[in-house]
Amino acid sequence: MMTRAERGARIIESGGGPAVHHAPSTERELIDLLQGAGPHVTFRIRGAGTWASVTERIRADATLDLSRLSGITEYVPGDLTLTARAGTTLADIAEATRANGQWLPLDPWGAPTGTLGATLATASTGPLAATLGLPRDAALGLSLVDAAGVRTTAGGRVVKNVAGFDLVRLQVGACGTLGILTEATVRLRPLPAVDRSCAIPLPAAQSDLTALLVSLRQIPLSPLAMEALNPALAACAGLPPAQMLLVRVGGSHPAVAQAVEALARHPHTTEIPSSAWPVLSASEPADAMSVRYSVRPSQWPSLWITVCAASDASARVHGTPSRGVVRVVGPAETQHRVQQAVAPLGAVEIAEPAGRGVTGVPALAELGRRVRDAFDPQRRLNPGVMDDGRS
Amino acid sequence: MIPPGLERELADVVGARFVLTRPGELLAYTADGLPGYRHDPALVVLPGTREEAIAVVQLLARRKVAFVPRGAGTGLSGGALADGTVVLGLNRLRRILEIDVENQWAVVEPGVVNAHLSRAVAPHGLHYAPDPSSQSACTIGGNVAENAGGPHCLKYGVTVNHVLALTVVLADGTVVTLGSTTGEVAGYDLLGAFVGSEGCFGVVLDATVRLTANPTAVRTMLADFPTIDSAARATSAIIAAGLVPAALEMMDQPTIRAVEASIYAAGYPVDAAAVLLIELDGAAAGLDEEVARVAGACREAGAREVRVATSEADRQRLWQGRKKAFGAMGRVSSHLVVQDAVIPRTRLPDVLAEIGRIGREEGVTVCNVFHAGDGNLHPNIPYNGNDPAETQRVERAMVRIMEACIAAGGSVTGEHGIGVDKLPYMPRLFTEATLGAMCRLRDCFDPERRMNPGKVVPMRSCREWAMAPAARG
Ligand SMILES: Cc1cc2nc3c(=O)[nH]c(=O)nc-3n(C[C@H](O)[C@H](O)[C@@H](O)COP(=O)(O)OP(=O)(O)OC[C@H]3O[C@@H](n4cnc5c(N)ncnc54)[C@H](O)[C@@H]3O)c2cc1C
Ligand SMILES: Cc1cc2nc3c(=O)[nH]c(=O)nc-3n(C[C@H](O)[C@H](O)[C@H](O)COP(=O)(O)OP(=O)(O)OC[C@H]3O[C@@H](n4cnc5c(N)ncnc54)[C@H](O)[C@@H]3O)c2cc1C
Repeated sequence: MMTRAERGARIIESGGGPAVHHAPSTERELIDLLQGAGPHVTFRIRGAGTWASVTERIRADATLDLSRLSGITEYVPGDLTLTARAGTTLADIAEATRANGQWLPLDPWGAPTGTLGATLATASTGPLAATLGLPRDAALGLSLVDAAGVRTTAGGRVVKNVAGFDLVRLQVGACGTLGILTEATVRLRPLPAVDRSCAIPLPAAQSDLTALLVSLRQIPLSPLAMEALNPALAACAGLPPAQMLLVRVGGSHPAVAQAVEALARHPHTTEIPSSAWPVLSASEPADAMSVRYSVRPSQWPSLWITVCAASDASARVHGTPSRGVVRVVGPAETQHRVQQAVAPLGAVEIAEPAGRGVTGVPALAELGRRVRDAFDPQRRLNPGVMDDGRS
Repeated sequence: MIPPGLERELADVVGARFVLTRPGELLAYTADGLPGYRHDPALVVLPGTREEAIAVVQLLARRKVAFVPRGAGTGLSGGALADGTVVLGLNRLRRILEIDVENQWAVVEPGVVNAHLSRAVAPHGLHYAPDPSSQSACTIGGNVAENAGGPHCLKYGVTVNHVLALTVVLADGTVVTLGSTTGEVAGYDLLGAFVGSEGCFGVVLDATVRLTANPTAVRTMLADFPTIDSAARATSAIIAAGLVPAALEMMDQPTIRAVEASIYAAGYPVDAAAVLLIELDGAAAGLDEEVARVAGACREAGAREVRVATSEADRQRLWQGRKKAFGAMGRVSSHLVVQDAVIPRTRLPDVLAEIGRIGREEGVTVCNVFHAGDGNLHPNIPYNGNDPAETQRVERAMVRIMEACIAAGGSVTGEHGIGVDKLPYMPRLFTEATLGAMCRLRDCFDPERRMNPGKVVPMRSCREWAMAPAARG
C-alpha cells in the first residue's frame, strides 16, 4: 500500500513550473485575470514562495503570485485588530505591531518572509499555537476572489461575530482551493511584558517523560509554548544535540520570574534566549517533506518515543505535548519507517501538503468533495491540493 | 403540510408520548427567548436516545419533511422556530458520556445543560469555559449551533474554541464525525464551519468539548462610574493597555436598578450611571499589580470607586447580579427584547452615546448590559408588547441601533445568531456573492434545504443563486 505521503506526491508530481507568471498588484487585476482566462485554465497560487516544496510542485497552467498584493491597510492598536493584504509578510506585520506592544502570534515553520495569506490558507502553526490559538482563531475576516473571479468576503473586522455561516473557518486551511485570499483582518495580542525561555533535557524512559510533563502542568503560569526537539533540531536552535523540551513563559515580571524558578528546579535546565524560537522556525529546510501525527495528549509520550526511535539522526522531529502532535521532517524513507512504527498507535496522520485532503472516512470525503465542487467546480485553483486523489 | 401518517410513524420510533400535536402541548414550542415571533409547528418529536434521534431524521428524510432542531429554546434570534414543520427536540439526550480528566475533555449529548457540565467536572478542578448568562438552562447542542459566548469568553474564547469534535446526523440521515479528539483532521475545517450553523447543517448527537482548569487565583472588581461615557472610555483604555481580563462587563443605570430591585440584588450602586464588572485571573504572582493597573485605568477615566471582592461569597454575589440581569429586567415589564451587536472596542464611547440618543428620541428605555471587553453590546428594551404604538417605537429604535453598529464597522450579532430576527440585516453586511457562498456551503450539508429552512441567509439570496448556476463560471 502507498503511504499518504506517496499518494500526495503522486497527486502533485514535480514538473517544470508553468511558464505563465502573473503578479497582480491589486485585487481588481486579479479578478480581471481570472475572469479573462478561459474556464479551464488552472492556476497555482503562490505567496512569497518560501514553502517551495509545495508551491513549485503544483501542476497548473499559470502561477498567480500574490506577493505584490501587500501592505497593511488598517491598524487600530486600540482595537487589537489589523487588516493587511494577503501578500504582506509576517515579518512586516511583526514590525508594525511590535511598535505598539502587540503581536500576531502566528509562528509557522519557515521563514518570516512567508505571507499572511499563505499562513492562513495553509493554517500553518508553530509552537505558539499550543496556547495562543490556531490561524483560524486569529482570522476575523477575509476578502477572497473565487475560482470564477468573483469577490466575496467572510467574517468582519470585530473580535466576536456570528453573522451568517462561518466562511472564515472554511477558508482557513483550505490551501487556496476554495478561493484566493486577498486580504485578512486578524486579532492581535498584547506582547507579554516579559518573555523568557528554558531548555529542559528530555528523559528517555516513557514513565519519566510522562512524569516530567505532569510536573510541568503545576507551573503557576501556563507557558506560551512548549515544544520538544530531537537532537538534530536542538542543534539547529544552538543547543546541545540532545532531546530537549523548550518552554517559553510570558506575562508580568513576578509571574514569569516565579515560573522560571519552578522550571529551574528540573535538573540540567538552562535558560535560553527567546530569540532561539525564530532561529528554530527559520531552520526548516526549503525542500522539507513533512508528516504530522497526532494523538490524545496523554498518549503523546509514547508517540514521541516511537517516532524518535524510528527516524534517523538527520531527520528533524519536533512535537507539542499539549496538542498531542509530533511532526517529522525528512526524506521519504524516513517517513515510511516512521509511518510503520506509528501505525499501532492509531494516530491521525497528515502528510503535507497534498495528503491534507486524504481521509479514510467516506462520509467526510464526500462532504469535502461537495465543498470543492461548490466553490471550484472546474478545479482551477491549486489543482490536486486537498483532493483525495479520486476526483 | 406534513404527510399523512407521519405522526404514527414517528410514534413508532419514539413512543406516542413523545410526539406532541395538541395545540396546548405545542404552545411551549411556538417561540424562543425573543418576543415578537410566533411560529406554530405541525408537531414536536422528542427522541430519548441517539438511535431514536437518527431514526427520526432518517424517517423525515424518507418522507422529505422539513424540520428544526431545538434545545432549551432560550435562543434570542428566533432560530428554533418551526413554521408548519417539525420540531426535533434534543433535550431528552442529556447524558454526559465521558469525562477524560487527564486530557481535559468531556463527551456530552446535545441536551446536556451548560451549567450541569461545569458542575459535573468541578470535583476535578475543571470547568467548561463558555458561560452564557443562560447557562442554567441552555444546552450544549444549542451553544454549538449558536457558537455561544459569555462573559469569560473575552479571555477564554467562544464555543468554537472549545469544541474538539462533533458527531452529527445530516439531513439525509448520514452520521458523520467532524473534527477529532486529537485536534488534527484531514480535509477542510468542517467542524469550524459547522459550529454556529444555527441548526441548518446537521443535528448534533454528541459533542467532545474541552475542559479548562480552574485558575489558580481570581480577582473580581466593581468599578462605579458617574457617566456611561467614562465607563466606555475605561473599557477602551484597559483593552488598549494590553491588559487581558478574564471578563469585562458593563451595566448601565436602568440595568443596575432593575437588578437591585430584584431578588438578585448584588449591592451595585444605584446612583451610578454605569458599573464595570472586571475579573482578572491567572497566576497569583503579579495579579495584584494587574488589579492596580486596571483600577488606575478606571480612576483615570473618572471612576468614583473601584472595589475588589473580598470573599468568594462577595464575588458570587457580584456575578449573580450580572448573570440574572436579563431576568431582573424581564420583571420590569411584560416584554423584553434582548439585543446583540458588536462594534470595534475603540468605538464604545461614541456608539453608546448614539444608542442613548436613539432611546431618547424614540421614547424607549434602553438597558445596556454587555460584554464590553469584546465590544459585544446588548442594548435591551423592556416594553409593553400589547401596546402597538410602543412596540413600533421599540422596533424603530432597534433598527436604528443596528444601523449605528453597522456604520461603526461592526456586526449585527456577536453570539445570538441571525435566526429570523436579523435576516433583514444580512444584505447590509454581505454582498449577494457572499450570501450565495453561504448558501452553497449550506447546500453541501443539506442539499434539499430541509433543515431549519428560512433561517440565517435570506431566502432570496439562495433562490437567486440556485436559479443562476451559470453565474458560477
Ligand atoms: C520549508 C518550509 C516548510 C514548511 N512546512 C510546513 C508544513 O509542513 N506545514 C505547515 O502547515 N506549514 C509549513 N510551512 C509554513 C509556511 O511557512 C507558511 O504557510 C507561510 O508563511 C508560507 O508563506 P509563503 O507566502 O512563502 O507561502 P507559499 O510558499 O507561497 O505558499 C504556500 C501555500 O499557500 C498557498 N497560498 C499562498 N498564498 C495564498 C493566498 N493568498 N490565498 C490562497 N492560498 C495561498 C499556496 O498555493 C501554497 O499551497 C513551511 C514553510 C517552509 C518555508
Ligand atoms: C436570559 C438569557 C441570557 C442569555 N445569555 C446569553 C449569553 O450570554 N451568551 C450567548 O451566547 N447567548 C445567550 N443567550 C442566548 C441562548 O441562551 C443561546 O443562544 C443558547 O446557545 C441557546 O441554547 P438552547 O439550548 O436554548 O437552543 P435553542 O434556543 O433551542 O436553539 C438555538 C439554535 O440551535 C439549534 N439547535 C439546538 N440544538 C441543536 C442540536 N442538537 N443540533 C443542531 N442544532 C441545534 C436550533 O435549531 C436553533 O437554531 C441568552 C438567552 C437568554 C434567554
